[in-house]
Amino acid sequence: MATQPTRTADFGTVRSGALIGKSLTITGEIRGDEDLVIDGKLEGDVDLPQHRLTIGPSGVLQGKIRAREIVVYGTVQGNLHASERVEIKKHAKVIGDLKAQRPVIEDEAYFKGNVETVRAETAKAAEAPKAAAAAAAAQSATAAAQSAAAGASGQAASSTTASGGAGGTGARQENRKG
Amino acid sequence: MNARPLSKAPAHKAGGGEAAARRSYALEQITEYLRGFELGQVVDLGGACQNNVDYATGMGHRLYAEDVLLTLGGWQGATEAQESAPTLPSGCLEFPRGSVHAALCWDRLQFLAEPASAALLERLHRILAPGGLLLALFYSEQGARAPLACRVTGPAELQIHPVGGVRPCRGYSTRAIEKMFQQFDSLKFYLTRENLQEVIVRR
Repeated sequence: MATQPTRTADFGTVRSGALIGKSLTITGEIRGDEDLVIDGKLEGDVDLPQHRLTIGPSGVLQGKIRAREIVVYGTVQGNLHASERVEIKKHAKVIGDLKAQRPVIEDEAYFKGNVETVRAETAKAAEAPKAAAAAAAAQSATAAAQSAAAGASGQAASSTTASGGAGGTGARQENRKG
Repeated sequence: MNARPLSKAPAHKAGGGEAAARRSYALEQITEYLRGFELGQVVDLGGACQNNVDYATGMGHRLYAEDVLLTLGGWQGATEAQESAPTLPSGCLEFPRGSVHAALCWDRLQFLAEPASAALLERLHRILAPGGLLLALFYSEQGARAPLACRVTGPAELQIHPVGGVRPCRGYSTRAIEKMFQQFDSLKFYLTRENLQEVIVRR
């Protein structure tokens, strides 16, 4: 089996997922179903409920973030909501409210805002309806695909189910595969 | 409720100062008060640090962190800017009236010029809930000092060490402190080491 591509950035190794490089400036919302590293500039919200978002040392983000894990080396102005942990690294700058199961603020990081912890069961309960909705959407897509396949002459429709999770939301995903 | 254990603070020597852990009777009172309920709001005017986040959130409260020395004119040589800033800038401690349950001011008030400290106290008086507590530290003698980083390392234990550059620090007598907090309900003094007074003020 082929391994995921590996990139080495100056703030660590990025195992997989998408990277917005230093020279890129994006205005708009990002949603997706994979890990993301932002080392450029983004004006807009980020929604990666099941994944990890890393703001690199050159990264500047102005907008709300929702992700499973959020790690900030750069600058963020906006609220951060992680179902698991948020890490604000040394020399990072964050202005906004932070909500996570495990908030970590390193020494020499600048943070201004409210910190609130969410308990594990609360975070799971909040994610459960979304997961159930995604599963239901995937199931109905599968059923539709199967009936379409039965009706059509041997045309496979398996790709519909494969993209059921993120694709079902009609989300725009900005990324660049490494 | 069961509070999470506080994270162990590393020994600090930032700004040339040695970390010193000390018992704090004022902090003990704040802890006792905060343990009486959940989902309260605590503000830390000394900036964010992991120990203090763990302290407040471990008891089920929210912690708002902001270093008022940075907000009110910048970390270096801010005295002149503060003199001409009689009101707090927008975005500084903007909480609804009576919504904050404890304010950890540490030593920050004595580094602010009169208009800024008066504006800050006015704001704190407005946002603190009736019965809410404010903790402040004061040196009795005027001088040039580095502000203190104060980490809560236990329910009644603080680790204090100087950080950043030395700046003018106003000295406060007991009488001057009483006058400063005259709009509050009550205050109590605890004399600690190094001529540092702990003051606990009730709204």
